[in-house]
Amino acid sequence: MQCRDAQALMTASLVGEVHPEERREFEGHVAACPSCQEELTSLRQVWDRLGQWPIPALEPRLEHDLLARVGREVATRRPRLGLVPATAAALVAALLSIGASVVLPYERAFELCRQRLQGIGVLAGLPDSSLFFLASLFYGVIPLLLAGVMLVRVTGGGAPLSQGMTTGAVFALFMTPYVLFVCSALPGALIAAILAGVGLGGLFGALGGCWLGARRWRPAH
Amino acid sequence: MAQPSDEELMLALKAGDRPAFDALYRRYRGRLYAFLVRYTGDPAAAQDLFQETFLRVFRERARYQPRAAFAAWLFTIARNLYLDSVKRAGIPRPAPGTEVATEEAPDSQPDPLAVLERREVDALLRRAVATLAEEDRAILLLSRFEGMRYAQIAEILGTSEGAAKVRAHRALQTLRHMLRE
Repeated sequence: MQCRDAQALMTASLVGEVHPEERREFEGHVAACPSCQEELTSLRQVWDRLGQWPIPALEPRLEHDLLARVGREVATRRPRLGLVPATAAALVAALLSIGASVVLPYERAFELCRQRLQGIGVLAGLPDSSLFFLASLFYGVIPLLLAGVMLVRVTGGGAPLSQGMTTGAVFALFMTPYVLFVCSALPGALIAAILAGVGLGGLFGALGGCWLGARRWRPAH
Repeated sequence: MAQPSDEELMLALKAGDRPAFDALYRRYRGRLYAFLVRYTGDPAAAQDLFQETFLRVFRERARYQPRAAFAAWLFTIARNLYLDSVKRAGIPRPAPGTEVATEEAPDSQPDPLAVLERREVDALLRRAVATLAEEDRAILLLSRFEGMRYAQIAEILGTSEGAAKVRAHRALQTLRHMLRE
């Protein structure tokens, strides 16, 4: 070991953080090298001197103020599950979903779904209502997944299950009149399938989004 | 009976157990405050950051994940709040004459010479540490006073263990240079 290598390990040696395989070599070098001994001694003196730094005293007033502020937070804190943020998230998701249905109408998504599933065994024989249901899931899942994540990001978390369910339910309320309006020419069974797909997709999307958001955003990072 | 770990207390707080917060506060109040005073070099700023850090712990309890040690999480919050405050308004460097109240041993008659010596050591170290770069200062203080390992410090600073080790050494060398002057 060269002096330069030994010196790079000196501060780590003061806190016992030299790897065992390096330690013996380091200690052997320092024992045989007066210059490194001097360097280590002077660093240790600074380290010890730093340890003499008096402990700053905590003022009792600070503790009193802090615990009072926490107490006030407990007393005034509203539950994290509020209808306002859930409604806002559901509204954003509904706008996204409506935008998606304008770009790609439900009937077109149904056709794409049918084409994709044509060669897949039992799925090829699914009735139209099931295909409409499957195709409609995406109009709920994707917007609510995004909205759920954003909801948690904005509100700071809370109970993902309750938040997700509330957002999903409000989203379904927003979407129902729209689906009834744009699909009025379709048979009732297909409309019901679309409503079920969008609603259930929204519910699962919201739950997934809130869960992902709660996992993703750790505080102060 | 074994005391609950920090992480167990934090999970209890997350589940709504308010006394768990008081227990965590009692465990870390002295350590966090001492770190902040030394780190910022400004007792007034340290007091604000101290309160804000614990309030943040309380407010963010629902987001706590026991993947990292609570201490690392707490000091990460404290450091990030400091960096935010510097970015927002700028915290002035400590004035040379700034007095910092220090803890006296209980039941001891304050020896004027000892008090004077402590104040001199305090002022000397405060000036020297204030000259260090922010990251170097944090690494040195967390290592020296919190006994944290470089891996844990690296997690707090969002850097590598090797980089933390190099910076700790550089900080101690700089401090030696300052104290010799």
